[in-house]
Amino acid sequence: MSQRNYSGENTGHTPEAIADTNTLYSGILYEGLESDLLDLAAEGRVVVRISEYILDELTRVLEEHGIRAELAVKSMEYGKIQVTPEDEIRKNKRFQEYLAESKKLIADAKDRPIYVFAKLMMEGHPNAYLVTGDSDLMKGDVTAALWGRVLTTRELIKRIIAIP
Amino acid sequence: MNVSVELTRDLLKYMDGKVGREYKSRSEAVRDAIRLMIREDLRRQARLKDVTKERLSETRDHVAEELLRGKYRTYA
Repeated sequence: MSQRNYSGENTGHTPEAIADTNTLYSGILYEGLESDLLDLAAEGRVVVRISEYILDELTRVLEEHGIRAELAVKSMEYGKIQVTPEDEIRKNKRFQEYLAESKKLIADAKDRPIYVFAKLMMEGHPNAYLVTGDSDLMKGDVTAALWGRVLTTRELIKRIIAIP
Repeated sequence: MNVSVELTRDLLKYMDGKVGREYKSRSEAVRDAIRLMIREDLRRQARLKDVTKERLSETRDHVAEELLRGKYRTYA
């Protein structure tokens, strides 16, 4: 499996998916393409990355519905989903620049953490994509700022299965 | 942690058919089987509690508001 540390060293060519909260809970709780994506991650055919913010959102949302969040965390751990701590994100030298950019581009504040995280993780890594169905994150100016690498789950899976 | 489990011949044959193709080892196959069991548990909980994607999305909105007022206020 492709591994890289947060400073950005990439040691492989496995595609990377930066997943948003909707993608993640859809994959964990329901049948469908998002679930297929998590299976591909478990098989090592794609690296799925989330930030601590996404994990916090997910666990709180599940807890509010009485679903055992600790089981979801275990499922992600066994499924090889990579979680980046928030303090590592904020230590990045470009964090403030991308945070400011997110405030200009994205009106809905709850989409800013995923934008900043995705941009930091995608920079210099052409195999990394933001995977989302969120229309605000798929707008032209946001997509352009992310080097055009914003895909739906279906589009990413097509790319993964095209890799021999 | 090492554990020993007893399997029927058919179950072992099924698992070994996957080892080498989908999994590198029997241990990896067992870990993934447990992941899928956990996922099924979570899905059953969601079904029993009638938790739809729409309801999760609504909950996400107010959870995000709380997070952006606290630990993640720098993004607000």
